[in-house]
Amino acid sequence: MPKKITKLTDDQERLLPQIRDEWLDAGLAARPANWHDAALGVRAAYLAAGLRPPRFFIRAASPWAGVLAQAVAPEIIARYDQVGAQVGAQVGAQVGAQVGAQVGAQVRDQVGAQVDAQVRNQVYDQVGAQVGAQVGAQVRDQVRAQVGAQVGAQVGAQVGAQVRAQVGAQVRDQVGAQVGAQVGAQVRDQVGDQVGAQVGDQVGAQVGAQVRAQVYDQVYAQVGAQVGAQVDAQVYDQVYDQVYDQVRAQVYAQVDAQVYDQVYDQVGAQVYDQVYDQVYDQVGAQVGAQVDAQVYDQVDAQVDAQVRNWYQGRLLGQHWAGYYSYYYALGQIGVDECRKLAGQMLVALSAGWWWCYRDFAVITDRPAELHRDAQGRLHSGDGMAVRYPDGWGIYAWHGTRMPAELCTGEPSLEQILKERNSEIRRCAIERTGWEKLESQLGAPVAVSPDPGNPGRRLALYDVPEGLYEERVRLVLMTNGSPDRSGAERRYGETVPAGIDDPLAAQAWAYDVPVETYAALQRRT
Amino acid sequence: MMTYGEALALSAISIPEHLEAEAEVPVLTGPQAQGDLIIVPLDQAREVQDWPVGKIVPMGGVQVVHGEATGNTHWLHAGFNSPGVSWHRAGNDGLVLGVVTVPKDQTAMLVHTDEHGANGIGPGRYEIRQKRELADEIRYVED
Repeated sequence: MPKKITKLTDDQERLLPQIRDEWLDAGLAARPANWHDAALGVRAAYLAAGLRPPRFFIRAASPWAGVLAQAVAPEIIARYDQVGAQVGAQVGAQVGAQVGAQVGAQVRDQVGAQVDAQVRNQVYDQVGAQVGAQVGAQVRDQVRAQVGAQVGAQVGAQVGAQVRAQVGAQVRDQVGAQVGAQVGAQVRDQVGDQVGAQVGDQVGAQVGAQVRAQVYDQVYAQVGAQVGAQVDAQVYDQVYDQVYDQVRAQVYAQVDAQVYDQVYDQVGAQVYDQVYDQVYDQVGAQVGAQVDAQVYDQVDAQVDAQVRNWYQGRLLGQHWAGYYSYYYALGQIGVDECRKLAGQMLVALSAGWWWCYRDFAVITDRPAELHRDAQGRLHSGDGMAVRYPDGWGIYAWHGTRMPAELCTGEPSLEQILKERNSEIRRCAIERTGWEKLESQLGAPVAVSPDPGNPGRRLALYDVPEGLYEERVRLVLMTNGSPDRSGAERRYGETVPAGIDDPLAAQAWAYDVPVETYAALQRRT
Repeated sequence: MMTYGEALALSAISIPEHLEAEAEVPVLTGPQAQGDLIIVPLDQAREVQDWPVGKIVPMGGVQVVHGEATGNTHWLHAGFNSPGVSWHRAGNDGLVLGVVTVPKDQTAMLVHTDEHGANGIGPGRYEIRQKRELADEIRYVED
């Protein structure tokens, strides 16, 4: 076993700030992903975990799109695989006969018996086995419509059952845990053996902690919270709306990209155009939609669970810059085991979040814009603080995630007061400006010094009628401790309108006797 | 007496620059407030209740509240040489989050991981309460 590293050389110490800066740059990068490098990194990460790289690489333009993509990809991929197997035998003969009947004698003569037979054979052989995955969109849609017309509910039910089983298998796969956690644990063990505590702390403090504080604590925390909040809120509808608008095109495009183009060329575009034009109209898209509905009804519960389970199997890419920077530095000073993380690190240098499953990986893009304040917190008074290429993103005010309507334009007092969260209200009020709001409030009903909070005051205001069912009053107060930028934080909270003294208002809010509140020794 | 730096180190977070790391945290036995929380000696509460002593506060502290929008939270820790500090977590209805008991000659620290700094609590028994506000219905103030 190699001797423990207990001290850094001067050269190594000089390296640390450089490593830190490089990883900071990667963690905060707001530029397009390098998809090529990211895919390389993904492959390497799977191999480092002893796994075969996945069949499909799916790109999504934001963490949110990624959540949806990883939820529906298993079903779409499985459906292609299953439809191919189920449909093969049944379609071949049907399509041939249908073509013969619909195309008519004239066309048949034109096309020739040879071509007709060729189509039937080609379709039977190629389409039957390969339909979903390996043939172009036109044929796929046409076959699906054929299936609907010819086979109907039976196919739908069978495919549904197959897909359910497949989705179940995908969900249970712990690929993410293997790639992320196991590799990390192996590396950590080795580091523990090879690196002395002091060196570990040094690298941690100079590189890891600094990068983590800026990237993970500030940026990921908010982005992750937003994703989590969206998953909780009305997932179901969004999954299907977003799926068909954003994700489906991307996923289908990726699946098509795996197609062996030669097959399509061999079958012949000219022939397929004729078949498609003649046959598809007859059958109708409605039937295809029926098949869709049957399949989706049966898998929707799985998809819904998969969206809610977005946390599983996800690796944070650039947002784990802190973690990777630490192990990268240790690798540079001689802990070779750290190379096992190289694949993950390459993804982190190239792209955003990613998910790894047995048959596919979803890789997401980096932000198009990222804005921070002087203290490194996400912040923008005018537009999104983080915006991804598909338009998804978050609004933030000095590190507090905000709803869009309170962080754009000039929200009214009414809008602000309706916000449940006191911290968000404070930010909205701060952004709008006390002058604008205090003028809407009129003169205070009463003011008084704030006990335990020297130099600051409490002010009690009437709130416009009709805002709430009960009349309320507003207490404006100043926090005991300044904000990280040194500015004062002021808050407004509502109390029953019958209260006419600011101390009584605070005492009501805490539900303590007013003498107790008046005796407050200190407020932070 | 603990400094801010030492108090915040208990929660393993770095001190916000705007707070003086070396400034001492006053240890008080009267009512105090930290953001939306108030520390109330039991005999100064509206009704005197017979609260249990609860469990000894472990090394990592206990999380008193978790903040929603910012992810910041208030932590309760035992102070220096204070192995007897205990915390009873109250049930879910009502404004009382819990009761901290500080034995004679010992101290407890209420620390906030973002802007509020630290409050030192001397011997005694105290409710730690959250705030409510009125807006169509009474709701808890979420920090």
